[in-house]
Amino acid sequence: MAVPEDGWINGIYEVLAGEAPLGGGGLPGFSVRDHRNGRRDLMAVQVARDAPARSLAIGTLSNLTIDNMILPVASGVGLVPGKREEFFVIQPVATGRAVLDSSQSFTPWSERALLDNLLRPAAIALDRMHHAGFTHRAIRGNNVFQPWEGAPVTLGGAWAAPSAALQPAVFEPPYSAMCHPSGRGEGSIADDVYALGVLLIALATGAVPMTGMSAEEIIHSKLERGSVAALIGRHRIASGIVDLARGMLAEDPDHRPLPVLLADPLAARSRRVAARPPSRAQTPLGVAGLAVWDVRSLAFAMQRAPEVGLRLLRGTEVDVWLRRALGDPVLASRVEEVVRETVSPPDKGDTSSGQYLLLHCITVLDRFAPCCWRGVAFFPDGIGSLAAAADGAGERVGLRDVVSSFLLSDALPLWSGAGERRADAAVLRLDWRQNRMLLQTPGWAGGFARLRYGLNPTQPCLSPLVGENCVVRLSDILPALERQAPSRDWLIDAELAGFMSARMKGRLDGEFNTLSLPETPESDPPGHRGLAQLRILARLAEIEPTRRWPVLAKSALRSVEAATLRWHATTQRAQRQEVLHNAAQEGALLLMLAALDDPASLQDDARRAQLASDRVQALEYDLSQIGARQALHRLDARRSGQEAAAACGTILLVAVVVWRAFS
Amino acid sequence: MKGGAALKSIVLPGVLLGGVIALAICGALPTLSLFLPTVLMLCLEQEPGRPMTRTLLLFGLAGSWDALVAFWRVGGQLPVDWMRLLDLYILARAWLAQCLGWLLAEGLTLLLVYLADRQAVQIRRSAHAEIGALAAEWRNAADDG
Repeated sequence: MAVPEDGWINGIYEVLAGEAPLGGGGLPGFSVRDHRNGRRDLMAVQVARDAPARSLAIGTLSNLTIDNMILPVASGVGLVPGKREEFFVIQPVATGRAVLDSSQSFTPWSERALLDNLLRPAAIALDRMHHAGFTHRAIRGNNVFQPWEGAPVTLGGAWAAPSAALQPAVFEPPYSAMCHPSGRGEGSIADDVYALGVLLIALATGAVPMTGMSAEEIIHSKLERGSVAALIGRHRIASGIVDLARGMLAEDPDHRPLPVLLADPLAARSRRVAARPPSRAQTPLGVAGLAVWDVRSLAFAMQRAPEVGLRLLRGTEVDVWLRRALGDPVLASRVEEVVRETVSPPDKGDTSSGQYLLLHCITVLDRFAPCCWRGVAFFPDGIGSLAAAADGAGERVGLRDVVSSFLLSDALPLWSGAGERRADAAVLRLDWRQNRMLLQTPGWAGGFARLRYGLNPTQPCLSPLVGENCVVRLSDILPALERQAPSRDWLIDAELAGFMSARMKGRLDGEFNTLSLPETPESDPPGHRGLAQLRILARLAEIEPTRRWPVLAKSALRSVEAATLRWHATTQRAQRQEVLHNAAQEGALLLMLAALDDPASLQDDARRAQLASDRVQALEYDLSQIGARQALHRLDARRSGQEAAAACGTILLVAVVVWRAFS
Repeated sequence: MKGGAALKSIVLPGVLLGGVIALAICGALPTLSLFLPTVLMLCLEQEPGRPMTRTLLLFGLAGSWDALVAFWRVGGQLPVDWMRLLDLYILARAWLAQCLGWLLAEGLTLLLVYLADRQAVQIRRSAHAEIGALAAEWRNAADDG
């Protein structure tokens, strides 16, 4: 999407720089004016470049109307104050104030207010979302708004960041909270129900639960004590709310009520959850400074300290603790079996077998646990946003290795086959196979960049070639490159190629792979790589066929000039070069390509070149034969001369005889 | 062998040969003197078919036709023949005719060889020119080839 001269988003929405930013649910927000009708009740939420917006949800939900929920209106590139390009999600401004802002104390809500103003409207909105096939994953105190006291709440926007990426640990189920913020995945509507349950308790108690605790402490506490007990603590709240919260905060997502059931709180309250409390060991097991009393906490502790967890698994500590302290020999036998099947000799230094062992054991210990791979926890449906966060700097290089090694290994089938999963295992495996194939594809049409941009349709291109420009769509590329005014011959690097290949859906993968090959004169026909680059640029120029790109054309000319050597005929080459230079001067990339990409002319040229070559060979053969035949010709000439002289003699004789006879 | 056949194959050719020798002796020497260049050429020429000898013979016949007719008419009288032979005009004309024949044969031969050589040079020159033009237009093809 090209940014118009005035920097309006989609040519419609103007980001108002002078006005104070509004709250965007944790992201920078700006006032917006809709220039079609002068509407001012919209805001633009700025999207971080390594945490792309939820494009699928934006595309679908922008056409829907759901009461009590802020839905996206549009998305696109605009200018932030300071004239820097960024990607924005346009959504209505929330009216009123957030129901729970930071840690300020407030008056607890009454049971009726909780049911009528919070639970019912939120449940109805979530039910609509559930039927639309999406989750919200951003229900938290500062993202739920109440226009005025006593009014039904409105769920804030959740579209400008990956699912649940901005959720604090307290509002997320412990298994989601222990994941990397970008790797929590789309999840299910049950996760929204959980977050709504946490908000219900917070408003009922009049305080943000578990304030002052770190994320690890919150997760550990929830796992050890159960979410309801951990969240309510010593607060006293109405029994009806407790009954509701117990169902909404069930550890098993399948045990949580659906939103449609919550819309009728009386029915939801009567629903009983048959959850067995976790077994508690007689003595704790120390894992990296964490006192573990139950298996779920053990799985969490091993996930946060993988080396220690592996050492304990390969030793006898875990087995002894499970058998003696916890009294669960069946579980101990299963873990022992996994260790025996997966373990490899330590001297081999096989780290991948250690990762498999840890993943498998954590899954056996806690069937709800996320994938734990190389010390990072994530759900496989969040692999796209996790890849987006791995943009190649600092510790994110490690994140890139985590994603790559996970996709290239057989960890996902192991994980999805071992435990009970919230997502469909068959779909996950299908996605995994496709992503793995993409990652293994050689050249620039495959690899990590191609995978990342394919999984994140709204992530801006991170190539240094486009500079600070926010390149999200194909039409953004040429303006960005033109503005950067490159002085190099090659205008496309691996990052940009991965971006374009993903956005073009593989249409020019051959050209991208050609560009990825090292430049060697032996294997490189004249101008082959330059022509591949020009084809890509021309394809981009087709988006705005009348626009001219003089800087790009001049840069591309240097690499593509040698392509005229593909014509054998000197006159043809000269004509093509002239056309090419003229087109480059005009900045007409399409004309440049037309001058070079002419298969019919090339075919005719090759045919004529073959004819010329044959003719030269024939002439050289004739020349070589002229010397040999000259002696023969001389002999023939000599004989002819003698025969002619004899003929003259005969004529003379006949003339004399006739003359004498008649004289 | 029967008697008739022996007469036809041996006796008759022998009688005829004897008659020819008897008649030819008187005319052979003058004739030989008239055609001395031709005889010399006959001895010297090695080419198959002796084309130069033939040419000299034809020109010699044309040049000495009157003398030969005269020889034929006087009927082989030796003194008369020798007297005619002493007529230098007759001898010179016969030899001159043969010389002209030789000159014509050699000249025509040289002329035709020259023309053949010139044609070969022209063919070579035009071939080189065409190759040059093709190479200039299709330099790439030549390089590739």
